[in-house]
Amino acid sequence: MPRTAEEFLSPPSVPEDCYVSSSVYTDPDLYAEEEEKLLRRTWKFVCHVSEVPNIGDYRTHDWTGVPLVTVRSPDKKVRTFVNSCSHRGSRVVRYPAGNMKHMTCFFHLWEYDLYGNCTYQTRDEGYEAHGPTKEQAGLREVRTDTFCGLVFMNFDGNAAPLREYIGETATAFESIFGENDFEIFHLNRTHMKGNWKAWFLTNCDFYHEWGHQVNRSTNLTSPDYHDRPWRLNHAQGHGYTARKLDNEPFVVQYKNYKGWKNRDGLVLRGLQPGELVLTDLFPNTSVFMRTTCVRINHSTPYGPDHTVMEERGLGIKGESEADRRQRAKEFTQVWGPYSRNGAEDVAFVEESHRCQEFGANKYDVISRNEPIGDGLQRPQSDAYVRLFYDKWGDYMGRPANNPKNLMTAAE
Amino acid sequence: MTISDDQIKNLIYKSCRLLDAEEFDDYLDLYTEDFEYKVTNYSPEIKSDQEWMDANRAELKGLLANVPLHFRLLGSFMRHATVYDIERNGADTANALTYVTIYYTTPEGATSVWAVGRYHDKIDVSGDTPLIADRNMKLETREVGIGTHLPM
Repeated sequence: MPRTAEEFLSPPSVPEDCYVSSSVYTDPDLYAEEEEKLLRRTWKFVCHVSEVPNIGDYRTHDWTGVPLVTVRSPDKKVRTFVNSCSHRGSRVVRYPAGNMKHMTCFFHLWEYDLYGNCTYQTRDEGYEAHGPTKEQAGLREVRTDTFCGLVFMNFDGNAAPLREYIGETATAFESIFGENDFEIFHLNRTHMKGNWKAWFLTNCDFYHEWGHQVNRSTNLTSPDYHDRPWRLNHAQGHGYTARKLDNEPFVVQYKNYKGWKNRDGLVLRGLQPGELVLTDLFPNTSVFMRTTCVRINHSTPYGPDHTVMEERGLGIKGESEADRRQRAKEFTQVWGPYSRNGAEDVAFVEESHRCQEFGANKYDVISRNEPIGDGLQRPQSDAYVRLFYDKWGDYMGRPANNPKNLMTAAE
Repeated sequence: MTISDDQIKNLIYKSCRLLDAEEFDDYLDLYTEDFEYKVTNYSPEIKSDQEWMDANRAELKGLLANVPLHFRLLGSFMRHATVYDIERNGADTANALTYVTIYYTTPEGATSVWAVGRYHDKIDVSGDTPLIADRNMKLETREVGIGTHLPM
């Protein structure tokens, strides 16, 4: 039965943790608050260590609008600096990646070493009277750490250490990353008109697999598809799905997609043929291990309705050209801008945003409940999405179902 | 019979027209049995070439058969190609370099440039008609919005 206007504007008739106000995806004030309270206080994925293997290797990136440069310093530690000259604020490093001996601002040629120290000021005698001295003009360093070859940064100097932040969720990928020496072979970026949370939660919403032809033919036909539980990390807001309750792997039936074969070769150490493991790290990093390759998915928001999705593929360092080609082929069959799923997920987010933006959709329903036993939930339940918004509420001090009202102390 | 440069050019232009029209069976007939098709680009982020699509006949045929079942970008593509160079490699093969601009038109009729790149084709000229033995669509454009299932 169609809903009346009054019914349409009312919250859905489900428990309060089972729906989200669409304003969390569209409201500029909420987004500004997210930057301050959440995005600048949690660990942000930067890159894989293979992108900066040598001293002087760097990657530039942004976070909450702040330009950053991550570089391997001469002591071999990976560091991140705000990529803005202490003099007049220009970006110091402008290319996406490369190798440098030091950082020189193009504007007035101030120079910084790879530890962020200011080492040169053009005509520095002009600063003798009033400063700043070189010692006072270093770049702002941002806390940076690595786990399993993944580089993360955090603006918050008081946040828990990275390893503590990942917590028990490390179980999902620690052994696989420990047993394989990975390096990057794929990177693509997509600007999308949509919210960063909607993108991340698409990665965490197995129910949306019914929308993908690949998943309909290769996953949903698998007899054990529904038998993998979500493993939720309630303390940190992470989650993963891996093996079934009996510890047997979930095996994707690739041969069911016309033209494909099952993935029995080039299997990553720690995985079984056809096995798929997915880890979601709050607030917006997903690590997929799909038999022969790894996908790291991360996004950079530039506002409530502008998100840049960045996707990486990892293979085995030093492998033969033929093996790398096969691995890359299997990666891009599913992911990337000319893949089967990659060309669909972004559209899912943009189509939803189009309706949320002007109020055609007031609430997202996240009520799916599919218990599998032992208090666990099946993958196509919304258990992780609910956990995500519970955590989001903790950081924001607001409930996601009514975010314009602050939580009371009791809540 | 010697295959002329004009026949090679017509083959390449026909490949564009058939893809635009989504006449996939006829499009595949333009290739040799054991062809290799790739979409590639150079990534300054990872400082290396990368492959975004890599398919043989069975894989490309499977993909194109599945296209109607996939959730798809609505609208249409139009490929504008200019063959810049054809080089002969003996009697049986030739290499062709083609500059390609792909326009995308929404269902509402708004057109934009989707991507620019170059076809690096290896052409089999050993038979009565030329066939594409290998195609590498080397893209300049690396940001393509929501992406597409289709070969470029």
